[in-house]
Amino acid sequence: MDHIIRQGLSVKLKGVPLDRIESGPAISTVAVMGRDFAHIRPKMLVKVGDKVALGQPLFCDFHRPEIVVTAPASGEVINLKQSNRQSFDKIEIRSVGADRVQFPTSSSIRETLLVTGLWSRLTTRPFGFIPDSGAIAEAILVTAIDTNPLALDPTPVLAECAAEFERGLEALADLGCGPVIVCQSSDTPALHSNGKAIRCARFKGRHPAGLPGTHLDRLGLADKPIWQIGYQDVISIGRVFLTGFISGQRYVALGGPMASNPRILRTLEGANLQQLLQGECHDGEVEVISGSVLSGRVSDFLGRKHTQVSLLPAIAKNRRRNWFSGKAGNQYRPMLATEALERVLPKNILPVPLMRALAVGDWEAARYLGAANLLEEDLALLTYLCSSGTDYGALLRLALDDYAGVNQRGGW
Amino acid sequence: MTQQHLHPGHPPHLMSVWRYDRISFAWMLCLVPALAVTLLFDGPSRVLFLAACFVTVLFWQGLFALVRKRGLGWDVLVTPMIFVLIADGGLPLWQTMLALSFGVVVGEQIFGGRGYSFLNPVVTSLAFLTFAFPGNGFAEPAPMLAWASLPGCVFLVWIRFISWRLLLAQIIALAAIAVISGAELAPADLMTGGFLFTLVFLACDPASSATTNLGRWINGLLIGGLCWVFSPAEGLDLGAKVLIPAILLASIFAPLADICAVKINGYERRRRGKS
Repeated sequence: MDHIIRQGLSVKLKGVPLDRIESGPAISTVAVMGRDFAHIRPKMLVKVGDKVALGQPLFCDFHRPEIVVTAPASGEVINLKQSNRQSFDKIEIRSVGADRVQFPTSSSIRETLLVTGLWSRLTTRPFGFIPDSGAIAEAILVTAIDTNPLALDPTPVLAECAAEFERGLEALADLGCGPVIVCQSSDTPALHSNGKAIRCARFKGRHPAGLPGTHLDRLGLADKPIWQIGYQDVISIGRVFLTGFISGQRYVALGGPMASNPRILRTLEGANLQQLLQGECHDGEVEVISGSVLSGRVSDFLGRKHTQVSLLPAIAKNRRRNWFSGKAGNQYRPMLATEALERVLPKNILPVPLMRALAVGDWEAARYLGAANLLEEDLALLTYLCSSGTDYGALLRLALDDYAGVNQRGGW
Repeated sequence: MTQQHLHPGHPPHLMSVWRYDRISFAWMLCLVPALAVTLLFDGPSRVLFLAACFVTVLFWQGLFALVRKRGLGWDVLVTPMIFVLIADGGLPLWQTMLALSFGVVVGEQIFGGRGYSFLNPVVTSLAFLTFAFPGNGFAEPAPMLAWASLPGCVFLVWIRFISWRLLLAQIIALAAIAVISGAELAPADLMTGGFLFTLVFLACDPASSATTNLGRWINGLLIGGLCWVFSPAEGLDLGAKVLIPAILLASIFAPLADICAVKINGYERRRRGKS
C-alpha cells in the first residue's frame, strides 16, 4: 500500500550524492562515540592499550550486562576518554590485523543479536532507547527510505546486499515481536513480502516522509511499543547469520556544497572522518557533519546510526557585530509562530504548542501533545524553520529521558 | 532562547532563509509601498508624524533592550510605520506619544518583546487612543493604500509568514455577516480604504494571533464576528474604528482558541490510541 505524504519540505542543497558505490580510502582509526549511548551507563570491558578483535565486547550496560557494544574493527584501543562514571566520550581503536570473533549462528536469534552487539542497533519507540533483552515489541519497523537532504539512496546498497538484507529480515521476523514492516520509498519495487511476518509499507513525499515517526503515525502504531532499525543494520544482522562474523562495514553518502565528488562510499562503522574525507572537499573551511544537515552533529568520527556525511562551508566564527543583533552569544531571537511550521511534523501533532512546551521545559504539556511518539530527528525540520535557532531535538531528548525516568544528566 | 549550547556541534547547522532578523526585515519591506503611497498623498506633515512616532518607539525599545542587554530588531521601524498609516496625523503630539508608549510598553515590552507577547503594540496603542481620547478619529486612508499593500500581502502569504487560513476566515466571517444582516458589502470593498492593510499587517500578525490551524480559523471568525458587534446598528462598518477593537479582543482570546485546538487534538489522539 502506498502512503502519500502531501506536506513536508525539501531542503535544497548542492552536492547531491550520485548513486555510485565506491570503496572508501583505508581507515586506520575507528571510534565508538559516547554520544550515541548517552542514556546507558557503560561498564567498560577494555582499557587503553588492549588488543581487541572485531566483534569483541567493548562495554556493556551497567544495569543490563547482557547488552554489549562490540568493536567495529580489530586493533588496539588507543584512546578511551571517560568524561565521568556515567558516560564516556569515545573509544578509539587503531585498526591492525584481522582478528575477528566467530559467533555461533545456531543459537537463538535473540542470543546471537545480544552477543554480537547488534541488539544495540534496535531503538525503542517511544523514548528511543535500546530495548531490554527480554522485551517484546508489537512490531519492528525497518526503515529503508531516507528523505533527508543529501541522503543516501538505499536502492543501490540494497541491490548490492540483497541476500544479507533478506536474511536479516527473516532473523528479525523470528524474534517473535509482531510483524516486521519494511518502510520503503514508493519509487522502488517491494523489497520483501512474506505475508504476515514481513510486510512492506511504501511512502511517497518530501521529508519527513522517510522518518519512522511519520511512518508510525501513518500506520496507526503511535503510542504502541515498537522497535525501529535501519536497513544497513538489518544487512549487518543478515551478514552475521550468513557468515558467522560481523563485518563492521557501512555505506555512507558523501554530499554537500563542499564535497568535490559526492557519491556513496563503502567504509567502516565509526570511521575516522578526516581519513574518509581525504581529498574529498573543496578548498576552504569545511564543517563536517556526521549525519544529516538537519539532525546530525559536528564530529570527527562517523556516528553509530549515520548513513551520510554532509560537508557544509564553515560559518565565519568572528562575524562583525552589528547593532541590530546585540552582543554575540546573547542574541535576541524570538520564535514567531508562522504557518510554515505546520507542515513538517506527523499529521496529528500540533507544532507550535509543542515547541513552546519544550522551550519552557513543560514536559507534561509536551507529553499531552504527543512528544512521547517522537524522536530527535522528527523535530529537526522545526529546528531548521524556527526563527529562534533553538534545538528542539535536544530539548525533546531531555523530555523523553524524563518520561522514562532517566535522570543521569542532572539539570532540570 | 533556551539551551543554545546543550551539546557542542548541535543543530541547527543550517537554518531556513527566514531567520528572525531576515523575516522582520522582509516584514518591514512589505510595508514600504503602503508607506510611500501615504506619504506622497499626505505630504510632509506625515513625515514629521512618522519621525515623532519613530523616536518614541526607539526610546522605549532601546531602553528595554539596554536593560535586558539585547539588540534591537527591525520591529523598531515596523511599529511606527504601521501606526502612522492608521492613526490620524492631526492628533496632538503628546497624545500620539502617550498612546504609542502605552502600546509598546504594555502591549509588548513588559512581556519580553515581540514574539513573547500576545498583543500587537500598534493595536494596543490605537485602542488606547480610541478609549482615552474618544473624540479622535483615524487617518483618511490614501486612495491606493490597498493596492500598495497587496504585493506585500501576497508575498507574506506565499512564504507562509501570515496564515491564509486566518485571512480567509476573517473574510468569510465578514461576508457571512453581510449576507445575514443585509449590509451592503461588495467584493470591491476589500480593496477600498485601509481594510486589507489592517487585516494583513495587524490581524494576521503571527506574534499576536492564534498559533494552531484550528485556532486560526476560530481567531479569524472571531474578528469578523466582533466587527459586527462593534459596528453601528444600521450596518457593517469596516473602518479602523471597528477593526482595531475587534483585533485587540481577538488577540486576547487567541490563546483560548489555541487551548481549544490543543484539547481537541489531545482528545482525538487518545480516542484513536484506544481503538
